Amino acid sequence: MGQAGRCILMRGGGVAVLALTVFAQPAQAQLPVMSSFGMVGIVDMPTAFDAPDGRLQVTTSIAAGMVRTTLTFQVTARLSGSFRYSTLPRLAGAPVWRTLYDRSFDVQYRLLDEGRRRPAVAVGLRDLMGTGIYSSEYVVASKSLAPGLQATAGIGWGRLGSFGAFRNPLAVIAPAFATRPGGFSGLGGVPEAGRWFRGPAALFGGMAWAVNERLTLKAEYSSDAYVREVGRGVMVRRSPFSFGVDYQLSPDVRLGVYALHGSVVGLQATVGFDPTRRAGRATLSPAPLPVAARPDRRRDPEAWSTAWTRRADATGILRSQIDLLLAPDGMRLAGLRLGPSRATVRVRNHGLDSGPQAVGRVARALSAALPASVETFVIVPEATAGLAAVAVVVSRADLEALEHHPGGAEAILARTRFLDAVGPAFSTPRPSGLQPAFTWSLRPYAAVSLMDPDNPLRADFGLRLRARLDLAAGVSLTGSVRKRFIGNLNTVRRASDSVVQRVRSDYGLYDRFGDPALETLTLNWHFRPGANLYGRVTAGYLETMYGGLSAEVLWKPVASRLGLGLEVNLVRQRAFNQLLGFRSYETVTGHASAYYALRNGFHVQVDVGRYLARDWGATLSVDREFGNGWRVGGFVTITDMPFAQFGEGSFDKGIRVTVPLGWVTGRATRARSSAVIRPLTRDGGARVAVEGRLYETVRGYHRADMQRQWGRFWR
Amino acid sequence: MIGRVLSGLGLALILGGCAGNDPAGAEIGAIAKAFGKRLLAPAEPARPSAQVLAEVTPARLAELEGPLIIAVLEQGDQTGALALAAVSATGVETWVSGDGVSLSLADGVLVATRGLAVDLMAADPAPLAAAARGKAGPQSRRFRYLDGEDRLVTNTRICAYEPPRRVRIFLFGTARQVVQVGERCTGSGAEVLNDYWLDPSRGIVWQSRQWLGPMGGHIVLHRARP
Repeated sequence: MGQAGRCILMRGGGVAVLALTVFAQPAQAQLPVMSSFGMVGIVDMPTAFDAPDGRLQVTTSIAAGMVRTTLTFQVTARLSGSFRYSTLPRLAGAPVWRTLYDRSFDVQYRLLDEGRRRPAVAVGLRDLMGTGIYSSEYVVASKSLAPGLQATAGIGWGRLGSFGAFRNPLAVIAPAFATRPGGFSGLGGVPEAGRWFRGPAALFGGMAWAVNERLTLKAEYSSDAYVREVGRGVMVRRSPFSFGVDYQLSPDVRLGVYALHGSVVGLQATVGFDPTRRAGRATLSPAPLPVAARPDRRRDPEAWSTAWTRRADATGILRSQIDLLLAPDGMRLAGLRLGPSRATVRVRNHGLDSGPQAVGRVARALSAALPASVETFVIVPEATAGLAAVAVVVSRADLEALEHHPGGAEAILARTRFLDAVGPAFSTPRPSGLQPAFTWSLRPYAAVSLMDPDNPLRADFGLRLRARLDLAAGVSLTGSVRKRFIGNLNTVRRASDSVVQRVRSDYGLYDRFGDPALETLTLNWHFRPGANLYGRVTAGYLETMYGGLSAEVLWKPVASRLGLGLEVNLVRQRAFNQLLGFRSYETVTGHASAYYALRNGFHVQVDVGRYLARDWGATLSVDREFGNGWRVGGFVTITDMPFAQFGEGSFDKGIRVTVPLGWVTGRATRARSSAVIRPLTRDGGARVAVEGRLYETVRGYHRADMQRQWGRFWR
Repeated sequence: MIGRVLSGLGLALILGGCAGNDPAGAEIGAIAKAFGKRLLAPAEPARPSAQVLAEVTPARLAELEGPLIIAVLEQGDQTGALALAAVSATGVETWVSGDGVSLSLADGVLVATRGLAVDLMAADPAPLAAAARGKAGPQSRRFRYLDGEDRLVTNTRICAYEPPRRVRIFLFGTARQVVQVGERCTGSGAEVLNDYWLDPSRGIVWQSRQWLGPMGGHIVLHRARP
């Protein structure tokens, strides 16, 4: 049986854990100075500089009761994107003033690098698809004048062209640039390209001076008149000048205080995460077994004899030896077929987050366990129980020769073959007592809801019981039940105002009545229908809101960067109490999907098909994936549901972040923590959530992913 | 009106009980425990290496079997014993400690570590035997590490060898006549100094002080049993 129950103090790669670990890191690239808008900048104004590639930072600023929280990601070396949630007192409503809860999205692109004489030049769009409170565009130039001293000058439109404005110079090209259309189209949430760079323009500028490694002084001349804020008495604007002091508390934390327009004092804090380096200094996992060298064949021909194949108990003995060697790394032997010179092993990896590391350790275990005559190792990792992901063919002589070679990683990769592990050539007799056939866990969970105007932060904490019963090769029964202990998600009283079928927007009712909740209970079948093909059938309570039948087939050659999939779901909406009952709504949804892994670590996915509210359309997802498993990405879904029917936000979109827990703790674990942030949850473009979708299940062991992490083969 | 974060594993520190036999998640519990302990009670300081080394007497060594290295990590002054676990087809020895660290030595020169915070994944060997005869010219050596994204990075350094010196060292109560060779490697933003004390006639490096890498500092290896 598996390991005895252990106790757990904490679950998840939560914010608290991350913050503690990043504090302990040695000094590296410093955080850039951030503006109160959470982008690289001065006080309010942007600069043309970028954060280091791949950086993720969260900035919160408070001034005159206005709170902005911004998540900024340095998408590439030149491109950054920000998502901002602001709570702005008195700025909504007329004639009765209410608090405005605003979401805005910015991008900035650096057009020119800084040279010896030339400044860096960037163009930016602020609040490019929100309801427009921060809507502005700018072109900005920044230059380092002396060590620690930076100067910035720029021209802004929209809000950044509201103070000291002059006629738009672009009107020379086309007179239409002279005026800026007001308001926003429809229900917001669409790019307002018809407004960009239009209307009066104004100049802004500023300086930042790093007094020492920790302290930075900054001053700016702002072209933002704060028209609405001044008009509604939120703040007074005495001067166009703002000043700030920035203090770098640690390599990943910056604190700031600033004086805005001669009348308001603001505070801000930035916490940065750098996915490109590992947190903490703990080891990834203990040292592997060394490759066991075979005796010299000429001097000891006896050791190379194949007489062992005639022993009836040979396979049984070797199987238990291999299993013993794999166990410390959390791997299990799921099948073994032995010939005089070739061994095929199926492995289930529950412990190592890296495919190459898992394969490398299996290869070394085989070198220690198998007789000298076995020259070829065929290692078949299972993507999920019973589903062979790939066959990695390694030569034992190469292992022996390359283990300590400085170019050993590249050399073994060049000699290793990745094959499709389908058909009788790769089948292995299953050990009779492959245990545990029944696995379960009882662990704490947390569910969080952000950005509800009634209460911008809600959360539930409780216990989740998960269980899995393996019935046959590829067939399993899985389920999960959840009980809340403390929390306030059930206090959502804001009813859905959706005018279409409420396929997602009734989540408040699910939160309110679904305790305890049967989250999932499904019968799952994963199988290989043919060469390069993977299949899945899932039936039962698929997710918290839907039950039914889901079937999927994926075409994904092991050496291809392209995958194609088809999925069909027959689903019925579940009762709000999340027990066994159903509501009356049922539908058929399905998608044709294309997946492509670009060479630079970006992943693109396109899904075309029918969504839960019977709307037809397509979803585009782009994720940047780091070699260590971090992922940051976004998605948009456009369907034939008219924006007016969709409601506020016009169409579905969101951003998502995945953190591998091994990155946080430094230990080997396959666990990861994911969060999807949708500015709005509505009913258009919604998909059913099914566990075990094939592409994500399979691709980790395919060539493209394995190549990226191949350095860990010898780890 | 509401945006949501659906968190798979949670976004908060939760205290509570748990149970299960699911191998996929059991590791998290162990990590959490270790992490909690570290917060509540700082780790006991390691015993000073001088104290540990003094306890390694010829009498105690005589009770043991097989080759043995006593290693001292200068950062943190930690001491550990390593036993010879494997000799590769190319003659590289891999020595392992009881706590999951291994060091691979090619004729006494460190070419790989495993189980440290930042491992030396591989390195070119050094021409120690020639250097002990004063016949080794400058040599280019590659040192390979995994970066934060698990990509292999290569630091190439030019290593020069100081003229050999005959010296006498005392090792666990035994005086040994050895040749001392100094190695100075520069390049890739670092200057690395390694020292080896070897017996060229037997091909044994009795003692060495070698650099592990940007995060590891130096390690001192004492050959306690040949």
